[in-house]
Amino acid sequence: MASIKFLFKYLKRDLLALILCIIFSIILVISLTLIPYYIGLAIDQIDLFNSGKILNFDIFTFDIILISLFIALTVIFQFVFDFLLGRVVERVSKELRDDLFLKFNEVPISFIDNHLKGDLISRIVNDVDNVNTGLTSFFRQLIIGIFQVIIMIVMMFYVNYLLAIVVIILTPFGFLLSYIIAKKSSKYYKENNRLMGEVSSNFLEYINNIDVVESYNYEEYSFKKFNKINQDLYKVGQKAQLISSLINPASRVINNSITAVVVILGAFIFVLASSSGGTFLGSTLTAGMISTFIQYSIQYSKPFDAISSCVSEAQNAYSSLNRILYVMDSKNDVDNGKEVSLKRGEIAFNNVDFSYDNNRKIIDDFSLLIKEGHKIALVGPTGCGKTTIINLLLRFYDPNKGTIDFNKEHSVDIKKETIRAKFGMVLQDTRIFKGSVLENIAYSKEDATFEEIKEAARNANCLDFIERLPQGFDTIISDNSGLSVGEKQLISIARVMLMKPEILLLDEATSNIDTRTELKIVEAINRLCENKTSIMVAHRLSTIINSDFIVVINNGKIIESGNHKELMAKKGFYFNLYNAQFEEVGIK
Amino acid sequence: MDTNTVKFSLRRYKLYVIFGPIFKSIEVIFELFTPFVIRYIIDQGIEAGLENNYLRIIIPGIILVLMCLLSFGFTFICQYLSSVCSQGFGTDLRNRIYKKIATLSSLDLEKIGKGNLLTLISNDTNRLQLGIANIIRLVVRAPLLVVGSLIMSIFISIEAFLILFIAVIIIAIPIILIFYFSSRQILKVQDSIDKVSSLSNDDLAGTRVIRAFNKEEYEINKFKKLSNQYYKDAKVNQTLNALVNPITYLVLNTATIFVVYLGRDNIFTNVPLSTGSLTALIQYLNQITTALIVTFNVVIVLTKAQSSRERVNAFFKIVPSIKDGTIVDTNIDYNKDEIVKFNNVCFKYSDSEKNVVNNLNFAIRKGEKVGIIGGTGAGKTTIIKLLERFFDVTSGEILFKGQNIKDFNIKSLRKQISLVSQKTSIFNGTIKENVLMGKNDISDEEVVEALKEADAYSFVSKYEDTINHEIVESGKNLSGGQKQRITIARALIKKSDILILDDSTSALDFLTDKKIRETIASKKDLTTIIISQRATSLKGCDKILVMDKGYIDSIGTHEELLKNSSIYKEIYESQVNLNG
Repeated sequence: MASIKFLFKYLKRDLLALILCIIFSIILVISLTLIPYYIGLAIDQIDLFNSGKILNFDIFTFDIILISLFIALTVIFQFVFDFLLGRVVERVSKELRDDLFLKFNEVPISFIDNHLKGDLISRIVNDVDNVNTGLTSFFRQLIIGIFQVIIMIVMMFYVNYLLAIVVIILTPFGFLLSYIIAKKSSKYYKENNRLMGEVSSNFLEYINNIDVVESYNYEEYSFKKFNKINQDLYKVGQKAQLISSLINPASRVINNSITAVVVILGAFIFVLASSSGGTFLGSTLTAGMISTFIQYSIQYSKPFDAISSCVSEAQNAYSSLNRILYVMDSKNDVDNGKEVSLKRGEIAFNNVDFSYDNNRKIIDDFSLLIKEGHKIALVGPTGCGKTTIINLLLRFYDPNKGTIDFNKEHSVDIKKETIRAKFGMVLQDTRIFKGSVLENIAYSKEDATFEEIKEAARNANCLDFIERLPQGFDTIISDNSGLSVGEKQLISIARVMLMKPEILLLDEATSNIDTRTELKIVEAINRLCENKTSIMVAHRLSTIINSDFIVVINNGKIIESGNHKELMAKKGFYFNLYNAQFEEVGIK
Repeated sequence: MDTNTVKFSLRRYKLYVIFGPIFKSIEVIFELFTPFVIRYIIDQGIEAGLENNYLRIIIPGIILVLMCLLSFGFTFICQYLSSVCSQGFGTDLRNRIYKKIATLSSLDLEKIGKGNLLTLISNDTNRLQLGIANIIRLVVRAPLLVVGSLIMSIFISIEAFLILFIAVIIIAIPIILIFYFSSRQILKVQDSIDKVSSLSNDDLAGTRVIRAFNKEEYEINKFKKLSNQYYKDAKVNQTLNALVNPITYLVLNTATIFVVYLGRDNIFTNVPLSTGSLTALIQYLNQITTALIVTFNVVIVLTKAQSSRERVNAFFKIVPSIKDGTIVDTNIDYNKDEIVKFNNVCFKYSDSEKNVVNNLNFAIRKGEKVGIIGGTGAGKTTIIKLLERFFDVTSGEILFKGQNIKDFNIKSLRKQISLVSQKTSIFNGTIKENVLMGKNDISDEEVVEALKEADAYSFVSKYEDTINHEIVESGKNLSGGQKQRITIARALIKKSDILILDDSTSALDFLTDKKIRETIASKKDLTTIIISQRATSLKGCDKILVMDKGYIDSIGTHEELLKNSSIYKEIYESQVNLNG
């Protein structure tokens, strides 16, 4: 119910248009239903047994004029109805989409971390689409359909109650038949779609590994595997297609039979009524009305089909609406921070506790003072909490206990934007946005000149590889456009190089770059942030040896700290970590 | 006849394509006669009924019902033929696309785009399938209903025919226009929703970066622009669709009025129409309208199928960029000093300006262990791809056993090279299948042996079903190191002249890496090329190629290079950091 209320908020602005739609649909349905009736009346003015003779010319002309009027009404209101409804529905969809996207940028990072990306995208694309379809068919099929059924039943009883009863009783049979067939075919289609998915994933595996397939002459064997699924798909697909293609003919056979029954019965009623003085079982029928009834019997089944398709669409829309509402109802990221002018200075962690799920403490009583201009390195085994510290620094998350202070100002009292504007960061999940290489680097500084961008790329050691791309800086790239992880990291570093931030944050930013290039980049970074604070998370210790202060973290706690020499002298955790890496490269 | 076309795939099903529509036509003929029978009942049946002769109502009534049932029977046959034919055709087409891909190199495939390939085998094939089903089921039915109704109306009166004929044309013209514009509009709408979806994807995946750079506003504006475009496109489409029904009604019912007028008196021939005839004509009009709309829907399906057909045909026409050679027997005499030789080899992508690799000159002796080292993007992997003929040199030549590799039959050449590439390719199937890669003349013991050599048996043996353990989702349940070891076993069991390890031990710990290297080093006859970023992994090689920005910087042993190559020295020192 909450979701209907939610949807109503969007519909409210166009309430007048929607009410008009309903009024129009009533006019539309009435005139639509009256057309066959008046055609029947007009036909009745033609003498059945004396072709060409008009019984009452005035009535005949009047009928024709009325028919024309109803046609005009039908045409106009049908168009206005569809047009108006379309506008409203498309506008609602657009607003839903915009609001969802806006919301995605307002929710806490944790919301996005805790949901599957594909699922969220599907809410913005498919679910909004489902609501769109549902709304449209609610008005166009359900409301019009219900009016049509009601008015048609009234008209049929008005014309001849006997035929009306026959049509009303027989029609559900066609309906039932196509329902049974549809149900059966949907079973096969489900299986068909599943197999189609299997075909696709087998095929993707094949083209993604085509190098290996070809170099191991694996083509024939892999084809055999593919063909097996493909043959299964054939068997199921053929049945699915055959059964679903019978829906139309089946309802045709029922509907045509109903028409036949109407004609035969109609003829009998006409004959019996005439021979017994005008009425048969209290009903009358003329030849024109038989023609009218044929039209009614054909049209009567249509709204039922429409309503039934609408029911499943409405169900879909309802559950989609709930999925949208779920996002819209989630709490926004709270930012009580003020805009303060953040001068350069020290950053202090004071007894910080943090847990993502209130269950396992990731950061445990963590205290650290980062002096201005210092180069700090965070090291420690995987999962020790290094990245979480970056998350806390940037206020992607706030500490559960304790404070992080920038120049003695609590981080939670400073606007997120203000803090983030200070940092230039290359995060572990490097992100390439769809666009040119140029745009991707200039992401950190929109008004950068080409020279600046080139310089940044040179500093990040990626100028050479960019120039070897098909269109150089103008090559369109995206996250999955075939750049290696190392290359993506280089571009992300160029982004920061261009920004020239006050504080630099590198979270395993060079993990996939070869060691020699890495050293060069580190040098360039050091040049870039001379006298500036930098915080680096690294797994290769060789890159952090020259840091002013190295913090060794394990299980969310600082277990050792100091510069490289001091830590080595301690012969503790760091010492072992360092030696293990040398073992790995085979020196020991 | 060009066998590489969609048309060719349909040849097998020629009879279906002919007989399906024939059965369908019979149904249409029954349907066309129905209004005639109704006319008979109203005109003759009622008159006779009034004289107590009910047979003229009952007999045509029975005929009506019988025609309904019979026409269902004939349709059933047609639908059956159509489902067998179109699905069969789709299945064949999928198989042929699959096979065609095997003749192309990964570079060819990249040019087409993986997404496009998937579209080809799913959407395009499905559309063609649907198109063919429609051709059989509806292409004859709908137009035949229109034309048939028109012809039948001639028997009622020539004036009625004229009215119907004009109505058909008047309905047809605007509907054709609307359908034409809306089918183009639909593409636009689809395109703009794709953009909306891909931006959402970028935004969600890059939330941290966006927020870190305070770019929320920028992204929201970008989104609003796209969402507005979509709104506009969808509105136009809406309006077009809203026109279809009213226009159809307008013409259909106006025609009905004219038809009713024919009952009054006849302007040309003075033969007025009977009530039954009018009823029949109104039914024909309804039939015509429905059939016309179906016709246009079919046209849309067929237009879509046509563009799919062009894409599929274009795909079949692609000439593989790698031309196959003729030498099948690789057991040839050659100078053992040069099992592989690169002479002045350059390579660049066809649309790029800069060479990826330049003037490569080196030779590899049989049994030699050669290392290649260099930075990210230095061109190391390109050397391997050239040797495997995944693409061909732009200039220069590569010799294998003294012969230009282009002269070899590609399959025979590749049989002599075992490649373990950077990206581990694990297929869905058992571990054994992944090691054997389709070979069937190898015993389980040999598989176990190869796994042991690659140090993979240690974890494989822990599975209850050992080598028959099923790997799902491209090895999601295996670690990077486990996957690498399986691919190494795969290469070892191939028993070829040359083994190439392209950075393929990166996920292994030092000890395992060393163990595998020692195993390989003990195979004296096996020529081995090892690409690595770790200088220490290559220390024991007979010679090491140092690559830098697409050039060979220097060649030599570890000791020589430490003396002569500043790049090598830098690489080595960046990794061992002697001053630590």
